[in-house]
Amino acid sequence: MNAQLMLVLLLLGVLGFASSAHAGPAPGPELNPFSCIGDAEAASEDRSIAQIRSELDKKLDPPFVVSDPLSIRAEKLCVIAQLKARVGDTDAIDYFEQAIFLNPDEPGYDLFAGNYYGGARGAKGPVLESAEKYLYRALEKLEKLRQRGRFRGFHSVVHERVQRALLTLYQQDGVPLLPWKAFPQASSGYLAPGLSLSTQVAISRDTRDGLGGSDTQAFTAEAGLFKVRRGLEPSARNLYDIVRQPLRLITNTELRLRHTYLGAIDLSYGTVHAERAALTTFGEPSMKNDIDVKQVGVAYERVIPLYPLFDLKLALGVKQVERRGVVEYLPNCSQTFPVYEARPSVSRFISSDKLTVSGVLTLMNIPDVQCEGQQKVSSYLNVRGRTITGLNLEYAIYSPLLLPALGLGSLRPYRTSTRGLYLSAGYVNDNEVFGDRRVVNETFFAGARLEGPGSYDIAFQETYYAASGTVIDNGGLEQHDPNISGTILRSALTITRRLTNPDETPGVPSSWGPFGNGSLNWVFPLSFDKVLSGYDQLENVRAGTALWWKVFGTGLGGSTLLVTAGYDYGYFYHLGNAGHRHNVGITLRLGWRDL
Amino acid sequence: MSHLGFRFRFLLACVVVSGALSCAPGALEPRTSPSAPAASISQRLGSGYYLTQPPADLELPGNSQKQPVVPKVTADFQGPATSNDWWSSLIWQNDSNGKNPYSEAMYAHPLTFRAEAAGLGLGYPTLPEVRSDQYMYYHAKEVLVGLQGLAASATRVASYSDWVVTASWRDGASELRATIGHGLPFVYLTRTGTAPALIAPQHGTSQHAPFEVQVWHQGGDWLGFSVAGHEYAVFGPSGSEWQASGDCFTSDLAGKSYFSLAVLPDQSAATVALFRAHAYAFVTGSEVSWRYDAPAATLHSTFQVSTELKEAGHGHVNQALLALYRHQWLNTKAPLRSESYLSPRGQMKLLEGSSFETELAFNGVLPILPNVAQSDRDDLEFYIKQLYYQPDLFPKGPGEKPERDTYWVGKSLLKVANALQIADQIGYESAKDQLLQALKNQLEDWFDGRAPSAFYYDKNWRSLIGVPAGFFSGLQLNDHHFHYGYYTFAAAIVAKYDAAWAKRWAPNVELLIKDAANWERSDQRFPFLRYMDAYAGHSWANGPAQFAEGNNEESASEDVNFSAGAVLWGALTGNRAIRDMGIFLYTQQVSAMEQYWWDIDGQVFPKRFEHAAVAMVWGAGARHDTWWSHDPIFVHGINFMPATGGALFMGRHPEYVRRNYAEIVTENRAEPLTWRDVTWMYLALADPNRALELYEKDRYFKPEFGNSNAMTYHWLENLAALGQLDTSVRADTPTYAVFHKGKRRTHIAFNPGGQALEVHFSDGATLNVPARQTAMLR
Repeated sequence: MNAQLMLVLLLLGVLGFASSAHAGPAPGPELNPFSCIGDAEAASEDRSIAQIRSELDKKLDPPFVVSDPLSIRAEKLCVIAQLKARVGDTDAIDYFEQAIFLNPDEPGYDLFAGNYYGGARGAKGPVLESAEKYLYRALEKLEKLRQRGRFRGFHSVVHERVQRALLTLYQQDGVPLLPWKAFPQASSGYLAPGLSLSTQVAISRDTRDGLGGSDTQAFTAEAGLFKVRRGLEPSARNLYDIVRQPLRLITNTELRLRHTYLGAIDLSYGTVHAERAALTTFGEPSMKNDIDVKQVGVAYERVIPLYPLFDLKLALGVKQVERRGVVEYLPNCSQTFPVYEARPSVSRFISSDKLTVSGVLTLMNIPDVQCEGQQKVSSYLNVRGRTITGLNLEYAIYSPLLLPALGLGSLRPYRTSTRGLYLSAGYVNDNEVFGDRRVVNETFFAGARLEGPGSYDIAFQETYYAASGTVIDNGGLEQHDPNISGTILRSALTITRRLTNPDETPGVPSSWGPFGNGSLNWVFPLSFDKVLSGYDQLENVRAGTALWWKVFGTGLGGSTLLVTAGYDYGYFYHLGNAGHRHNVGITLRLGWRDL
Repeated sequence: MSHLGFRFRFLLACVVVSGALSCAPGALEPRTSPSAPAASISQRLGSGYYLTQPPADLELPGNSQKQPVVPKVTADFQGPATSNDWWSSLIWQNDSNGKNPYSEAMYAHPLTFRAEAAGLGLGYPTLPEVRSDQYMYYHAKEVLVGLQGLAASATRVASYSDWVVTASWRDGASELRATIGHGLPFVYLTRTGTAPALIAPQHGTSQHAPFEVQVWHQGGDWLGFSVAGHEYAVFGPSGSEWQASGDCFTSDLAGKSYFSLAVLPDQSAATVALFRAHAYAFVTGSEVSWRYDAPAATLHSTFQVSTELKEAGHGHVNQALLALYRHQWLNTKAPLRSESYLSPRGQMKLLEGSSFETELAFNGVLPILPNVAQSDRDDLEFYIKQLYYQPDLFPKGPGEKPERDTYWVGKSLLKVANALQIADQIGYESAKDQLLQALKNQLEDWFDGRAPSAFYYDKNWRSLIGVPAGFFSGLQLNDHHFHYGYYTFAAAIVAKYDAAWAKRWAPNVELLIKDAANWERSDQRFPFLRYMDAYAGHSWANGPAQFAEGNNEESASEDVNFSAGAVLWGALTGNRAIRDMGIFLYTQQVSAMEQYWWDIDGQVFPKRFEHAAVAMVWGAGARHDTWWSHDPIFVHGINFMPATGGALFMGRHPEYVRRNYAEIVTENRAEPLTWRDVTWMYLALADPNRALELYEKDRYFKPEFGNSNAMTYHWLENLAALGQLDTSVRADTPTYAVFHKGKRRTHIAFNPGGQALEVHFSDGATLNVPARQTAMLR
């Protein structure tokens, strides 16, 4: 049956019963709405996407028969909606809407529609405002069913899952300061504003902290600058001093105002204190000074559904940054400047797969250095500025995969349901000017992450770092500087073992006091930084382990507590015995944002 | 690096990673028994315990509002209360549609009933309501029988027997008692007090067009009338008169206390004379008994009603008239009359007499098929590992609120039991030992009387409820026979390997069997054969029988699975009473299932109901639908599971298997992918090569929850080697099967005993089978 005919039939079916679909239970048997999930799973589990689509086509031809009472029609349309969501059809929500319309008293279908926007859809985040519309409506229906004495056993499961969906939806927001959107939510919270406070604290000693993650690249650049300053190769002692693990304390506190018509507006205040983190002068690595950063900012975030085109995430922010300790020779020099940041993402389904394109543009409008006690030098030596641009493509494959049954000690293929195979590639251009030097760090990366064969996630990524340094020569011309140029290849493998699988508790997890266990992952990262060209004395390998624990603050209005703690052993093997590093870090997040 | 070199290194890396990630579980230790539960809340039994106080979160047998319910019986009621019968709404007040202390519709066949304050409404529905997904012969009140002025506050059960029940209406000094039952064309009524007997033919009903009432005999002690074309006769004591009173008839019964009403096949004088002769032989009880003739592999069942002749002379005989269901009259040598009735189970033929015997062939059960095909060991080992390496062999079930209840754990028990036998067949010792120990530990966990997995004995309803309950196995006592069938089958497989374990835990296993089907009438802890309706030939799944359609049973194949488990357990433990009860249940259920779920002869489903099978049988009819989905694969497949050595009966009629499977493909508009293992295993009973071909096209699927890839592959491969079930040959041991592939016949026998056994087949073949082993002759 073609789509137009089907829609006509649907319309006729709906109009024919429009008068009876407005109030009271839908005519027909009272159905457990989870039969929709069961039927959809039965028609999709262990299937290729082509097979699921074939099942979908059968269910659409016709969507229901004339003799079906409304409650059965609604269930059948819900199954179609679930299957459409599974194969990535953009009109899945229309079928959820039809199911809701035909059985308007049943909150289960609102839950499933809310889960669709809160789970399958979205770009780098759920379509939160659309999801909460359905979830609060489900709460309203549940309350009415209680009043009318028609609250069935399965409705308690619907209620629990609505609460879980809202917990997950607001998990990043932090501790609610206003009651209306706090856990456990009630239907009255829908149009009320949410105000919440999130706080994050990270303490670490790690070679990679604060260096964009590429310690090899950053330390190699510093070694190059040592050569520029001193005109000789750094000694083993110099390299030992460069490879440092400052004690770093990062805090970030954000006040988030959320309203379903507005999206989320954040006011933030953050600090960074890193002891002896900066080389006071690149020519003498043993001389180090602290770095301190304070920043206040305002940001806006919202995912906007623009289907049938795509979902668009808007994330815009501006910060005022005050930093001290990052200007060579001037450890006490303070700089204040604005940072403008945009992180848009668009995402859409390609059949059952999902393509997400994310961009980042960060403009750091750093003023020329003007500090007391600085040497009187040419003005261009005081020039500062930094621009970061990037693009990331992620292609997520959600169909079951034929994977070798490694867990059974066999290479036989076995159709394995996964939480997604994510293929990603990207490019980042970090263009920084400091005085007479400019370094353009280009990062190319490509990788794959397989989530969910059993209790494991496996991620593999190759990252190619290319640093191209220039210097202003005496004639004022920008010349290539090989001392601060080079290329590095990082190979990284991360295996994650899910000790507590969040999927196993689709409802609200049982609580210990005010907390409910959300998920617990045991992570094993492994990486190898190989210098392909340029100075290679800071190559290293690294292996470690970490725990990531997510706890729902069910007794704290629903705020999520995220704890990560890890240890990594790094070995800069060209340094011999001086190259061993033990990196540790712990981060506590109540609610969270990117740190 | 050369391409070949890279591939080699990649493969090597994969093998290394595979070896690192793969991890056979460490040897499972026997379970250490926990400390005994407190005596105040538990009862010791054998090596285990069961709870006598309900855990806090257990839903006890209750009504639709989940308020506890106790049996609704008279003061003189004796014996254990029961449930899950065709008449259970009399004893279990569920209040599904508001307060109703009388009953819901009860489908005795050929008569249907519904109790009310004024007496007993009855009817004889012969016009089915046929839809695409069901046919129903709904009860419609054609006659009300009672006492004049009767307004009872409730209808209570005064007594019951195997398929007959006596209900009581009390109103002050007056009491009416009515005895009704399967196959009884009569209602037998007695009164206490002097209120006149009342017969009220019904002219109208809110549900149907007005009935046409014609009185075709009045005068003297009997009354003849027709309602909606159905003929009724009422017989009073000699000397009594039936007086017209408005639309009703009353009689003082000439001062006596009894009268009877019958639905007649017709109103001919001969028929009236026949019924009149039997009208005073009041049925007072019903009893089934059985005898297994092992040499002939034939189960003999005797269905007997006891009668009390209320009035001798006048040609009255102390003998009942019985209407036999199709599965009964097909298998009896009793002389049947030409008169018959229509019912949702097809034609019911009339027998003049108080008893009859049926004979049913028993084609045997096996613990599992032998590995005749000698399938690829690596394949089977790989599939066994899929189970063996699982960290949790008894996971929670699916659904919106997953639980480790007795149904889902039961299914896992059987899955493990099948897999361990396959592991044993291929010599995969570590897996066999591990899975066997896992079975023992899991069963013992249930038998220790401690949370979270335990059994609670409810003394009100004399039933053993698994905790946690599933599918309302507590609130409505639903499905225990399904659930415990899996436990019984799995326990039998443990017994196959460890007789000492079986001896130690026999009281606990047998308590489960007794809950579903108590074979000892003297054991008052449980009603006799609670779930099995011996006359109907199958069980009823619902406790209160709370529906307008009466009671129901969906997965009859799981009903048979219980019976097969009982046969194996009885055979392996030397308990002949349990074994023979299992054979009785099995043969009755198979013959009923073939007729009423599958209609293999095309004689049961009414015209315009165009299906090869139904998923559910109801008192009023049958439904081509399941409780949870309309998916045609579920509708058919729910009666294909579980596939075990006890499920070979499904292949008794290969042509029907093909027809049934073809309907699945038609309704599904494609070969099935949902439950593909279940449907292929069914198809393999008729066309194993086709099933294997479908399987080979795509092996990479997840089997149904209670099934495994190991069992699927083993079943398909071996049936492809064995061919079809050969029902023409029988053996003198119950644990056997015979197959034929073309002209090649394979005789298989399992020896459950501790000594070698010589098994004789009816075609002259003989097999010597070592103790606890399976042997075959090809």
